[in-house]
Amino acid sequence: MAGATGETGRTGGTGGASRRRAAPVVAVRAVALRAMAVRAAAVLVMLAVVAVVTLGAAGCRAAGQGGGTAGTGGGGAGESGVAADTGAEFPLTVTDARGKELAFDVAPRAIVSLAPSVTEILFVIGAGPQVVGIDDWSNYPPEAQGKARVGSYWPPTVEKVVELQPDLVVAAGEQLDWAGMLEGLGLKVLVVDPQTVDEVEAAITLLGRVTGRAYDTARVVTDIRLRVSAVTSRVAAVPESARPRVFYMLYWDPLMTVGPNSLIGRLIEAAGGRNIAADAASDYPEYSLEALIARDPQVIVIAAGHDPGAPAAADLKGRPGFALLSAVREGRVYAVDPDVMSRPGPRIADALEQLARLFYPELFQ
Amino acid sequence: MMPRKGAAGDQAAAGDLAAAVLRRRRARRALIAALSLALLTVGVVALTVGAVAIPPATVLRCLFGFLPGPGPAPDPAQMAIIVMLRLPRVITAAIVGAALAVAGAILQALFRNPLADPYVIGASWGASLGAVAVMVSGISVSFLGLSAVPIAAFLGAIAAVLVVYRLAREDGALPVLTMLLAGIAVGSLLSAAVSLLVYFADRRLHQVVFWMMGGLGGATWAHVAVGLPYLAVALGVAFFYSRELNAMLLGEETAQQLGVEVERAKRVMLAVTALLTAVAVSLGGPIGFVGLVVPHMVRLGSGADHRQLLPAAALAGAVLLVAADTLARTVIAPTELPVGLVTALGGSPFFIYILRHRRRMRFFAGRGG
Repeated sequence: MAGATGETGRTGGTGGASRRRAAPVVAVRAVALRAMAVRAAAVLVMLAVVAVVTLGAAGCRAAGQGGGTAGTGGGGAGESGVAADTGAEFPLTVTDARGKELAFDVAPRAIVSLAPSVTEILFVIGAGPQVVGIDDWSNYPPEAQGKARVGSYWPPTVEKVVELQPDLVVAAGEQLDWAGMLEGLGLKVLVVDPQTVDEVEAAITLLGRVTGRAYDTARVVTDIRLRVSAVTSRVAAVPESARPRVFYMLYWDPLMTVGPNSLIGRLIEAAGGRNIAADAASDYPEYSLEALIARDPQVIVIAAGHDPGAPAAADLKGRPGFALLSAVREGRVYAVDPDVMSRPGPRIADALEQLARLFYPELFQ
Repeated sequence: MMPRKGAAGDQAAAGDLAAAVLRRRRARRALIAALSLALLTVGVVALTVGAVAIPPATVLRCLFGFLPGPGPAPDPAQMAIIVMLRLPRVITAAIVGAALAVAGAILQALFRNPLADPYVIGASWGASLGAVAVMVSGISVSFLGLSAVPIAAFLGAIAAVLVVYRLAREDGALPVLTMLLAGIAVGSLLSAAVSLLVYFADRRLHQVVFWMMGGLGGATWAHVAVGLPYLAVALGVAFFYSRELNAMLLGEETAQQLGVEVERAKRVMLAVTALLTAVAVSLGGPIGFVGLVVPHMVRLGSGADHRQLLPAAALAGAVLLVAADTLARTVIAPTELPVGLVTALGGSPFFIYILRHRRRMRFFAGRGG
């Protein structure tokens, strides 16, 4: 090590001896300081380079912001021809799920949807032609599949969203961080976060107003409301003790179910079932097999979907402990499509009806 | 040179030594220069590639818009992508990489242990606890353009290291073995707390899991603006203590005899690594591998002298992370891989290659130059 030469020969000591011993180190330190200064200058030069690039970029940004990244009402490549006037009421101001106010002069023509439920809503109300980008998980409806993809639900690929230059981005409640980031880039973001059936209807209505599709949306919402009340009114008459005990198997390994405040939990109750996990502390709790056996559900619903790893209804008999359950013994184990069950979108009426048919086959044909 | 006898021989021997020192010094300067060039190159490439294809000419026009150039002006989307997304992301990656590598190098000297990395002092779990707590609780304040998550992560990291420091301190001294054990103990406790919070994450689960895998997807200019000053200060102090770190490598008693105030150096270095790790984890999440392996890779070329090792490690860490992040967001675009995965998958084989071939690589041939 250059510098502190000749020191290792000296022995230890106290006071003055140590000061004398330190003197050569101080002299060496002076030389070292000069070298430090050179190095510090080099670092400053590098930082200056970064600063120059940053300033250049900032200048670029200032020039860019003038044009804006959100072509309000003009940018994007929406398909031609929205269907006939559907009661649009522009200009309007709405409040999204964050409590943020958004103003619209005209209906947005280049919408990006960041969540599958949002995509379903936009297409069912007839705003499909106004959509230019959807997330990777949006697999319904089939008409949506040709749209550009902007990345996953988490994370969305922000570059792709920006490239499409949307005049509106619709995000889900979980995606607040991305909503903030996109707004920082000058995009208009609307957040919807329905947690109950009523809130789903309100979200559909909101998106209908914003996209200028109020008439079609009113039809959709009325239809959902009628179907929902058809189910709830019929099960209202069923006494509590006659309601089947239900276990919704969200995942099998680990065994996971839905809590009372989750959307699916609420659907189960609305369809006249008694969720055996209704006292769970969280929305998607892991459940113990012992509790499952102790509470003995009469109906088991498996969120199997397209997952090849999911247990088939028939397989459950072979799993340890399951053979004891009433549901397994009576063959009331059913597989459902998790996309339909878990998305807070227009298909919740389908979900509710499906659950009601499983719980009360004699009441709902 | 041929050995010569007598007084002339002595002078010639001194000349040989000087020549060797100069050669070595030149080689090390060459290393720093090469790493700087590599960083610049990787940075430019990183700006040119991404989920959205933008031609390099447009990229340059975006960056240096005040210069006239050929071709059409970039459209607002391209400008936003380059200037508001990629540029801050690349710079943040460089900041995080440099911080982790230097923190790792310092701790390896402090603990005199090649397995030390920036996370042994409990900083990463402290940061994780802060970040996850904020995410799960749903607090969404923002400060200076940064959301609460990186701020909480930073504070959590600093707090964790403070706890480790208090635990390890004995009569004003800071024995490194105790510090290591305290770091492990505190880290375990905090990691259990994080797991508990994750269990109750519910609707925030996506966000939590994604953050814990490490990633630079949300990097903005606010991150750069906040991270760069901390990095500059921490690196400045670290470079200033290079000689002390060199001495510490010889053992604490030897360093003491060489005039180093060992306890103060340890405290300062602990604070510096805490700051560096806090900045890194709050900006990019817990990214592994860089802090552990980059110092070793650089040491093969620069030797153990921290006056060269620290700057070289900073540059090499920056290069590695910028490259890894670029790969992470392009290999299966538009989906993004977690960057920690890429650093481990890509860096380990490369490091193994260097280890196996170091004798054959002239650049590394012998420390004597």
